[in-house]
Amino acid sequence: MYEANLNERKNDFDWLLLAATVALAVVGVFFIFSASGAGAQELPLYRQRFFRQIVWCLAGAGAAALFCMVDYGKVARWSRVIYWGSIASLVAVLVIGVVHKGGQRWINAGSFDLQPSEFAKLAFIFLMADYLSRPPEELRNPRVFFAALGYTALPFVLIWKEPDLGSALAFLSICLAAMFVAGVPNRFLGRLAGVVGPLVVLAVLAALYASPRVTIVKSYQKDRLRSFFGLNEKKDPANYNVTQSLIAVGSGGLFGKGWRQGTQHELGYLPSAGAPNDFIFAVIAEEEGFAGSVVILALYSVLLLSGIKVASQARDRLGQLLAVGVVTLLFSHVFINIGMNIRLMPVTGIPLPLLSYGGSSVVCSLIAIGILHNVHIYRKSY
Amino acid sequence: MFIFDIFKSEARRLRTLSVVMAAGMLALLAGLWFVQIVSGKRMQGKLEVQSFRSPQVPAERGRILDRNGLALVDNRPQYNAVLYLEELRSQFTNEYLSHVLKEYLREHPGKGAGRLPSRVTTPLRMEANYRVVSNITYQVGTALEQPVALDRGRFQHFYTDYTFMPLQILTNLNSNQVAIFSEQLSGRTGLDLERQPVVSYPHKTTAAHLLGYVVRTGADRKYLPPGYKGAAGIEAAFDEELKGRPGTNLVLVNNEGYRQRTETLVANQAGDDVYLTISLPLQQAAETALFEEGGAGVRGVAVVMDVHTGELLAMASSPTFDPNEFVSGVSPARWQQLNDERLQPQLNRATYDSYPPGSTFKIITTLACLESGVMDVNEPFLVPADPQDPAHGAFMEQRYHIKDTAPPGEYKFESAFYFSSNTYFCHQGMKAGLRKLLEMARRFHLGEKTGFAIAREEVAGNVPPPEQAGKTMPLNSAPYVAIGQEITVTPLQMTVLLAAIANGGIILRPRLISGARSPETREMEDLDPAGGPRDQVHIDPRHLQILRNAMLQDTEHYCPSDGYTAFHTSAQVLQDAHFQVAGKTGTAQVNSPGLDYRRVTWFDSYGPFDEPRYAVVVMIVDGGSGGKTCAPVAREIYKAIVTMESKGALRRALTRN
Repeated sequence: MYEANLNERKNDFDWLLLAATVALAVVGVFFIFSASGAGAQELPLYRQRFFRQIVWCLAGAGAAALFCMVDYGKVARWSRVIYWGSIASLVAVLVIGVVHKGGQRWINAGSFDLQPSEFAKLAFIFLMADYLSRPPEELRNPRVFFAALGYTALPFVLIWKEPDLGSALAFLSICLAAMFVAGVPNRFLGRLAGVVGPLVVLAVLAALYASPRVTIVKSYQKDRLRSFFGLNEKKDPANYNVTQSLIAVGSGGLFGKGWRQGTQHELGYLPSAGAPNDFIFAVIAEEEGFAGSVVILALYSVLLLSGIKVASQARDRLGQLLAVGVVTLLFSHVFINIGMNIRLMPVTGIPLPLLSYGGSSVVCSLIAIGILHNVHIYRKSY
Repeated sequence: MFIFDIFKSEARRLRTLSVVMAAGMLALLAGLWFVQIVSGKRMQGKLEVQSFRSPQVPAERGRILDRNGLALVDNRPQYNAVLYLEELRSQFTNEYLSHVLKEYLREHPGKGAGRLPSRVTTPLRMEANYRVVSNITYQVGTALEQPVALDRGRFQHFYTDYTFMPLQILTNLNSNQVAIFSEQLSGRTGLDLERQPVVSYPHKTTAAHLLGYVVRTGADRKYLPPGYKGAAGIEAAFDEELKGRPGTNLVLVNNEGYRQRTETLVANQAGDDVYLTISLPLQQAAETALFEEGGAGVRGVAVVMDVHTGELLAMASSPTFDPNEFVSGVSPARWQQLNDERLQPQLNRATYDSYPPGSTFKIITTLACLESGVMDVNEPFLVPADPQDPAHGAFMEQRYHIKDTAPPGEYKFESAFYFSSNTYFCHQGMKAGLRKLLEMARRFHLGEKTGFAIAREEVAGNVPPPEQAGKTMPLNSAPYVAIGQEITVTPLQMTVLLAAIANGGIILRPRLISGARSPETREMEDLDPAGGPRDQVHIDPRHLQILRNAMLQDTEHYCPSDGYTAFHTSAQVLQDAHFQVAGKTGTAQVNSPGLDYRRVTWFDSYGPFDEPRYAVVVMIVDGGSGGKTCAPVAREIYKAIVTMESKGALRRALTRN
């Protein structure tokens, strides 16, 4: 009886979470329309980005709804299968992937390109939640800790290879957050920080100052790092993009120039390929100003807080870790992407959840929110 | 207990996670605040610098029209074949990919087709662009039968800095070329015909000294359309009204420097039209008369003034120049010619130089002597023969020896006036004294600027004020001054004097500008409110009449030196109209080593005698004599006036209607 009560499904919605999600998706469609420029309107409707985004939003919403029908616990049983499947797809990308914007990140799937790293993030969240939701005393076992690290390292390295530094960082964040909340002893995490921290510093320094023959990172990544630290003398396209993004964001001022009145993307200073994707935030900030930026941040904050609340009300540790994983995923994307738009972070091609144009990103973001909602529906009843 | 501990610790860890995320969001918020609020202005500035260009749009210059609205200065459309580079982008890329890049790869087999560094691709792309534009330029030149080559350096400079502007391929197309262009070329991508107003002087040299000329400005910004600046004459004096207000376009340029959109930031506003009191046909008649008498190289002036309003109806100065030459710029050699020291073609001799009035000053001497009561017009006076030249008289009182052109014998005032006896007037002038002579001259404002509209081109001449008699000017100058020596006046001052004699003593400020009309409001604005009466000289009307009668005799009573011959040869028009002219001839000998002329001849007059309406003053440097050289010019001018009056062509100026 008690068990049955515990697993009872509650047919209510977290309205705040859903409202913020819908609002962000709608805002995304509007600004993708704006960022595509006047020339895009001559294309047939099905080729216009805003329309495709609507289709993907609906597809993502459908997938999320389907997902909510099944108890997350049942899905989690398949986590290892899903995980290894995603690893296989990441390997496939490196073998048969399509190169866009200097990265081999896509697999051609007929009329559109799939980005497996996005789906791998979801798979990874399930795996970590499933693996770390074991009894807390087992977590004190270094073997478990190292195994979890290994599960992280595998996709991390594969995605680093694509290269997609931003997504790789997202994996690391999810791993750390999940381990932290799951209760991995602080001394392990401390040691991890003690090892990884200096390594990162060394890697950055090496990337900045090492001779060109030593290839720790790709040369364009090195350029980006150098320009992020203000060391780049030559005209680096990525640095140029961020400069233009800063000009777009800054020139928005307090209230912006109005929807479709931004000039940075219209005149091509923000690259036409990037404006609706990685730099969608710059478009919004230019057209709606600081006020608009605050609204966007507020909507994401609602999403993140709702996620934390879902985590705290989760029925079990699996649900809690799933929610934490999703929240960390969203947070790392938001922080890295917006940070990149205002030069708080180095340039990494990472989409802004729900706002950026892109099927894989939108569908995965919506499924992630579906996971959150799933945990919410099957929350504990006390 | 244990379970709750776990949960507590997990809740604590969730809180920590929340705090980390909140800190992250706050960091973003702070960053955005810094970028959008603190640096907003700076970023907006950067945006404007990179994406806005604001080329000036020159305003069409106002026209200058005569009293009846005939254009003396106009705008002529100039047509240029121009190329809009932004429309050629796909051709540029095509040329680069299908030719230039391939050639490069063929010459450098080692290089892969992969990414070439920009230091290689940038010159290659420039080469491709140059080839495309050069081809089009060549085709246009061939079609318009005016082969033209595109200079590589010029193109590169243009392409680097002015990509947002149309590139001029051929300028100043003739009408035939415009027709060919419209037929064969106007449909071609990027090609267009640009219309550009150019200041033009349709009547060429006519009234050149009044109109002045313009020079091009902004020659340093060589790809932007030129503006004009008035450099002389009315063009300079009324540049403020004529120049209009240039506008500013806002050109949005994209990241490659191409024009995306053009908006009007400030609309340009055409300059005001300036209306003159000058009558174009009369001006032409005056110039023709002047040139016929002495050829185009004659140095002289002819001024016609309405004696009631002070309106200048014509002011001709010779030699002259064609202001059109300055519009496109004059060569150094031509500039040398235009500044010839002897001819001084740019000099308006009516106002900007002064000359001894010679015998025409006897008008003043007469009035000074009559008003001071020293001269009895009926008292005979014996002019002695010059011992060195018995055929002519001479003034030999005291230690003076002043030659006379009139024969010796007995004279009364009137005969002395039309014979222009120097001896008689030296004698009378000495009786009146230098002070009285200068006083009368200054009462008629000789030796003072008249208030001519082109103030920069007016001199005062040299007639000392009466207080200077015995100071800067010795008293024994009196006989010389009495016959118009040792002083200088401008022909315009003499015209004002003659108008005052004709109208009963009203000194008029010469009026050249009748008004300005803004092309927008169509409202006439009075630019010369000070024109009209300036002073009133009170002369006994009987004295004035004595002078006028004597002046009439100058053209009505024959004597070898007066105006009779001129006004009784081919003057049927005047006689038919009973148009009598009162005047005074003059020939001043000049012995100043600084001047390159030896004689100044005059004929100062007004007419018709019964009902004076016009003052006409003609002065010619190094002419034969006032009667022989200048009076015929005046006669031709009066004939033109009579003909025009009969057609009603000399109505009051437009504003005064």
